[in-house]
Amino acid sequence: MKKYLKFIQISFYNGLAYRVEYFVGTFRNLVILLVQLCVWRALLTAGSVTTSTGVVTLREMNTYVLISSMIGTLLTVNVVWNMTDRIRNGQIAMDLLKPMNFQAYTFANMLGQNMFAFLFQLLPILAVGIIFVGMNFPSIPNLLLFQFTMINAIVISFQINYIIGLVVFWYLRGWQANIVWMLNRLFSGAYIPLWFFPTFLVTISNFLPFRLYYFVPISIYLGTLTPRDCLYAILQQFAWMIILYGLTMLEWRAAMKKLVIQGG
Amino acid sequence: MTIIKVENLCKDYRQRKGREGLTGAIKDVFKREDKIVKAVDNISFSVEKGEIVGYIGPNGAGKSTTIKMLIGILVPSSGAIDVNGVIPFKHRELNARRIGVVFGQRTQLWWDIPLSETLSLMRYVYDVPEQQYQENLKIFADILAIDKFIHTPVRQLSLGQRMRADISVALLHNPDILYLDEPTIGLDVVVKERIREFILEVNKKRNTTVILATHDMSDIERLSSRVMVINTGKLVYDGNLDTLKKRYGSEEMIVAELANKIEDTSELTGMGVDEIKYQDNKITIKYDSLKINSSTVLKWLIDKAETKDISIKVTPIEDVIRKMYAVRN
Repeated sequence: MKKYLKFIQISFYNGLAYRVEYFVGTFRNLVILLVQLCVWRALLTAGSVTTSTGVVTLREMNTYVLISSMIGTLLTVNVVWNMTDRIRNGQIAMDLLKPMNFQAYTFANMLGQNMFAFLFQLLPILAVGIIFVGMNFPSIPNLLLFQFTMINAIVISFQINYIIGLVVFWYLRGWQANIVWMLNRLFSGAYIPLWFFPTFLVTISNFLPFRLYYFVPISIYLGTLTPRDCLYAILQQFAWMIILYGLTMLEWRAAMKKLVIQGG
Repeated sequence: MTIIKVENLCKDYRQRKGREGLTGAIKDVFKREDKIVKAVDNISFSVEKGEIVGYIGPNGAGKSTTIKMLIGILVPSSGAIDVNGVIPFKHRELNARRIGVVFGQRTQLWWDIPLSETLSLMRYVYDVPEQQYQENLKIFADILAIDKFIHTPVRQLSLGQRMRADISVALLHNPDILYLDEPTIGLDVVVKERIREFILEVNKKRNTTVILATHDMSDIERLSSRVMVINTGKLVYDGNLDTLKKRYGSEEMIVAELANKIEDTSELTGMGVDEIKYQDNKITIKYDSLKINSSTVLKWLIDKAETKDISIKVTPIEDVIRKMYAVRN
């Protein structure tokens, strides 16, 4: 167990070595954030809008975008590319010859990296939120619930990307990740809340795990979910975590059988 | 005590057979024709605890594939492997605890952090007790001199330093078995010798079993008495190095500088030598040491002429191996 904590620590400190990358990344995210804020301000000229679930104010929409941006730093993007690189150049052999669980190791590395990215970008985003645009803050119960669902969210997002990454063990290419990410962009509610979706898309979204790490936590933060819906969502998170874990186990066995390690 | 047992080990790979020409390429899109390549073809052997075994073969023979299956990172197509009572690919993590691995062409070290950080991390990964950790660090400093560069970021290390570091990492947790895949490739003679000495020391002190896959014959000669030769996936020799040399490298050569020329060499030819060559005052006699003894040839020479200088050359091990490697598909 201690070894995985050490991995988190090391990949966290590695962030310090790549400062320039993080500055550029932060700048990029801030630009995307500002664009979104401008778009919503233009759309909600009336100051609020009526959606399928009720009235949404501009301030709420701004908060949505800000929290979504913060969540974005915590959720993994690098897992698939790191795995692809290491498999294609054969370095994966170095990871597999050690007495450690590969999934846990990958998760620990991701966590350290993303925690650093999160802390790095937290202040700028909050600054934009508090000083320039104005954002809402949740009640204490909602905040705690939000944090709880966020932990689950990080796990689910990781598992999905890990499953995509394992395919590279035999396919040697990682482009299939783009398909999943496209679906993710649409159905997660990262950019457009599901309140604005037509019913049939919402129904599809309910069967997919994507909204469980953007739309659901943000809704809890904003307080737009009823307690019953909250419970239902958390149960869904657990269900998906179990299903995805089972999938990773099955896929791991197949992946190891088909693994081709490059180089002599 | 047998520590490694391999039975009928096979590893097949599917290789795409690309058909020629445009029509071929189009046909390939609809139906792929695959060729099965036997990277490892029915290999069996066993290793006793404390042995140092050399594992040689030409490039692409299946050396690294065998090692990867022994380590547990590659799953065999068929056959059985037992290492220390554990099936490596079935219980990868358990097996990994008790082995150390050095791949000459890759590094286990983390690239952006100093060596000291990698060692500290490995201590957690392998659950090395504090005392053992400090003891080993001291040994590595004494024999491999890693203390000189232990705080340098790994990407700034020279090849020799990096290799010494990789060996330290591999032995930090006192593994039962050490797998070395081309550990001295690209190294200068001084570092090579230091590493070889260290391996011998570890084998002597801790009875560590060593599997050494290499192209470097001097590695083999220095470290192991037993050698396995693999070629196109098949094990073509498994036994004593000296026996290998005698059986496949029995050709010897005597070069002598003579004061007077020997006119009639037919007697020597009659005794069964393979070739006699004359150049100025030098005579070169090639013979098979299994057929005729070197001392017999020497006696004849000294009888027949006044010799100013004599040297006996045995077949270098490289030539022995070259002959065995020459059979390739």
